[in-house]
Amino acid sequence: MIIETNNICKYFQGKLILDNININIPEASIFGLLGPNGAGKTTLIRILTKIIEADSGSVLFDGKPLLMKDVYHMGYLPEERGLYKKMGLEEQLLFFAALKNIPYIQAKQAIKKWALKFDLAHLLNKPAEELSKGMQQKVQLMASLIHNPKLLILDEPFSGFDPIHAQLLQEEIKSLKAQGTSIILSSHRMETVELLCDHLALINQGRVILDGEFNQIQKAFTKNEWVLEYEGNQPQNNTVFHFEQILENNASMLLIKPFTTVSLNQILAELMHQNIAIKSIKQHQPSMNSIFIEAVAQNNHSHA
Amino acid sequence: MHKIILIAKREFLTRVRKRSFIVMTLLSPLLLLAFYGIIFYLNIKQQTPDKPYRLLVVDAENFLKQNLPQEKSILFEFKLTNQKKYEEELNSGNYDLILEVKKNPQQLPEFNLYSLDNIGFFIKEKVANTLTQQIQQNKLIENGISPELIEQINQMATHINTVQIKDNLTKANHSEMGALIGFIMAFVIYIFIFLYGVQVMRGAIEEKSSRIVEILVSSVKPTELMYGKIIGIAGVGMTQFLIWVIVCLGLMGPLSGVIGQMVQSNFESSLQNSAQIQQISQNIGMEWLFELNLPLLFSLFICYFIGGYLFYGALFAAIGAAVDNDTDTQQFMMPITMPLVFSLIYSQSIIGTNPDGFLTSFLSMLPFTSPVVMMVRIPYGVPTIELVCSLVSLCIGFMLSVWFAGKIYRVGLLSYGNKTTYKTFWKMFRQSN
Repeated sequence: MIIETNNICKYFQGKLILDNININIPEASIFGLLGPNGAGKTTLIRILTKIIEADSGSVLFDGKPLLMKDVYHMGYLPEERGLYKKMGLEEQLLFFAALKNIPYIQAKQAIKKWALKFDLAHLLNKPAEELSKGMQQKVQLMASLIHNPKLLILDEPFSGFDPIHAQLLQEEIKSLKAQGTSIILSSHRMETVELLCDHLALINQGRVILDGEFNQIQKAFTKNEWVLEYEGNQPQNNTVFHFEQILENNASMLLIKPFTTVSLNQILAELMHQNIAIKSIKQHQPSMNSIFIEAVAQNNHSHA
Repeated sequence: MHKIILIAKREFLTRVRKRSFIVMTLLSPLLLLAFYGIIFYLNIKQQTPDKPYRLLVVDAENFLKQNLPQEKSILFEFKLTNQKKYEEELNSGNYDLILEVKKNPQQLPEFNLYSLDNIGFFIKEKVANTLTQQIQQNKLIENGISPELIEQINQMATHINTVQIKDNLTKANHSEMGALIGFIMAFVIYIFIFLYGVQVMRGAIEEKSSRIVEILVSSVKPTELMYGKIIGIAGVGMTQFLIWVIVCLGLMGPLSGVIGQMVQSNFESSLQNSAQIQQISQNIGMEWLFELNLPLLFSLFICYFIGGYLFYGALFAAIGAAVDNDTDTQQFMMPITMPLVFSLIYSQSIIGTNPDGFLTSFLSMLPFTSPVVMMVRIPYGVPTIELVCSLVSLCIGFMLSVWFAGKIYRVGLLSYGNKTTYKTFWKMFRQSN
C-alpha cells in the first residue's frame, strides 16, 4: 500500500468534515477518489499532502507514518491552480522543482522531456500570461510531474482540456501507472474514472460510502437486467418483463427489466415465444455514473 | 531555511529584473532632485530678478532725505513733488513700482507701493526691510550717533554655541543639524516600510488569487513562504536604497558646489553683512557632522530600518493572506498605517521641543512607533538603557508580529470566498493553533 489512512477525522469551525476515513491505496494503481461537491475530497487530499493536519487518525505512506519528506515524493495537481503570470515557464518549473529538492540539472532534463511530450518546448521562455488556458494547464501538470513522484495526486486533471489533450493525458496516466507510479484521480468525469481506475472510494458528507476494486463494486451494483439487441418486430408487453429503450436514436437496443426473479432462460423463452429476431443479449453492467448517483442517493436517504 | 532562501531569491529576482524597477530606481531620485531643484531655483530667481526693479519714490516731504541704500535688485529714484498720475507713469514703462510716502500726523508716514502687476512677497519684504533699515539709521544720526558707530553696531551678530554638560564633561552640541539627519533617516524608514510592506501584501494576494499557492503549499510551509517573501522584498528595498545612496554620493560633489554658490550669493545680496555671512557659513560647515557618532547612528539606522520593516511587513503579509483581493485591504490597512503616520507627524514636533519628554520616551519604546520616533531622538543623545529597551522591544515586537502573521498566513492562504472581517482574523488565528 502506498497510502493507508486510519480513522482520519477533521473538524472545521466545529463541523465534522471528515468522519473516520479509512482507505487503502495500492501501489502502482489508479485510485479514483469520488464524491459530490463539498464531500471532503479536497480536505482529504490536503491531509495526504500534509498541507493541513488531521484532528485525529493517522496516515501511513509506504507502510510508515507520513512525514514531510514523503511529500517530496508526491506530485499534486490541485483543482484550483495558477502560475506566476509574468514569469517564464521554464523558470517557474525550475523554481517548483527546486522547492522539491530536485537538483538543477535533473530538473532541466525532466522539463525538456515533458515539454517535448506535451508539445511545449518552443514556449518555455514565454511568460505564463501569454499562453492559452489549455497550455497553462499542461505546464501545471508538468509541475506535478518533473520530480518523478511515487504518488501523483490529480484533482480534476481533465478540466480545461480539449478531447485531443484529454486523450493524451489519459494515455500518459496509464503509462505512468505502467512505470509503477501510484495515482489518485479525483474527477467528476465518470466515464474516464471507469476507463482508468482500478480502485475507488466514494465519499459523501465526509464518510466513505463505497470502497474497493472497481470490478467488484460494479458486480455488487449489477442487477438482473439485460441488454437486448434485436432485428425486425419489437417485443410486446408481457408478464415476464418490461423494457425500455436505452438510446434515444436507436430503437433496436432495449433494457429488459424482469418483474420477478426470473432467469435469463425464462426471458429468452418469452422472446422466442414472441418470435423476436435476437442479435445479442448480455447482462447490463451499471455505469460508474449510475453507481455514483445510486450510492449517493441511498446514503442521503438513509441519513435524512 | 533552504526553502526560505529559494523563495526570497525568486521574489528578489522577479522584482529586480522588471524594467519598471530599474527605471524607477534610477529615475525617482533624479525626479526628486529635479523637483527640489526647480523649487529652489524659482525661489532664488524670484529674489534676484534678471533686471533690477526700477522704483520711483514719491516723497513730497523729503522724509527719506533722498537716501536709500541701492540694492542689486531694486534701483531707487526720488521725486519730491506730489503728483498723482501713478498709472500714467507706470504705463510709460519708466518705472516698475512707485512708492508713495504719505505724511502721517502721528509718527511714521504711511507707505503705499503701486504696481501694474501683482506685487510679490519677496519684493514687498525687501522694500520694507530697506525702508526700516534706513529710517532707523536716519533716526540714530538725528540723535547724534556717528555713522561709524552705526556701521560697527551693524557688524555685531550673536551666535549661540549650545553645550551639554554631563558626567563632568562638556561637549559642543549641534543637535539641530543632527536632528535633521535623524529626521531624514526616520523618513527613509517610514517610506521604506510603506512601499515595501505594501509589496509584501500585494505579493501574498497575487499568489492567493492566482491560486499558485495551491501548488506551492504542497512543497513549502506557508510560514516559510511568508518569511521568504518578506526577506526577498527587503532585499529589493535594500538594493534600491543602496543604488540611491551611491547615486546621491556621486551627485553630491558637483551639486553641493552649485547649491553652495547659490546659497552664498543669495545670502550676500540679502544680508550685505560680512560678519553675519561668516557666522552663517561657519554654522553650516561640516564640523558638526564629525561630532555626531556616525557609526552608532548608521548602525542604529540599519537596526530600526530592518526591525521596523519586519514588524510591519509581517502585519502586511497577514492582511494579504487573509483577504481575497486588493479592494478588501483598505479597512485593514488603516489601523496599521495610523501609528506609522502618527509617529512621523509626532517626530516633527520632537525636533523643536523637548526630545526627552515622557510621551516621546514611551513612543520610542513601542515597536509601532519606535523605528521613526527613536531615529529622530538618537542625534540628541539617548540614554543607553533606553536604546537597549527600545531595540529589545522592537525585537520582541517583530517576533510576535511574525508569529501572529504566520498563523494567519497558514489558514488564510487556503481559504477563499469568505468576506474578510476582523472576526475572520481572530478565527484564522485560533484555527491554526
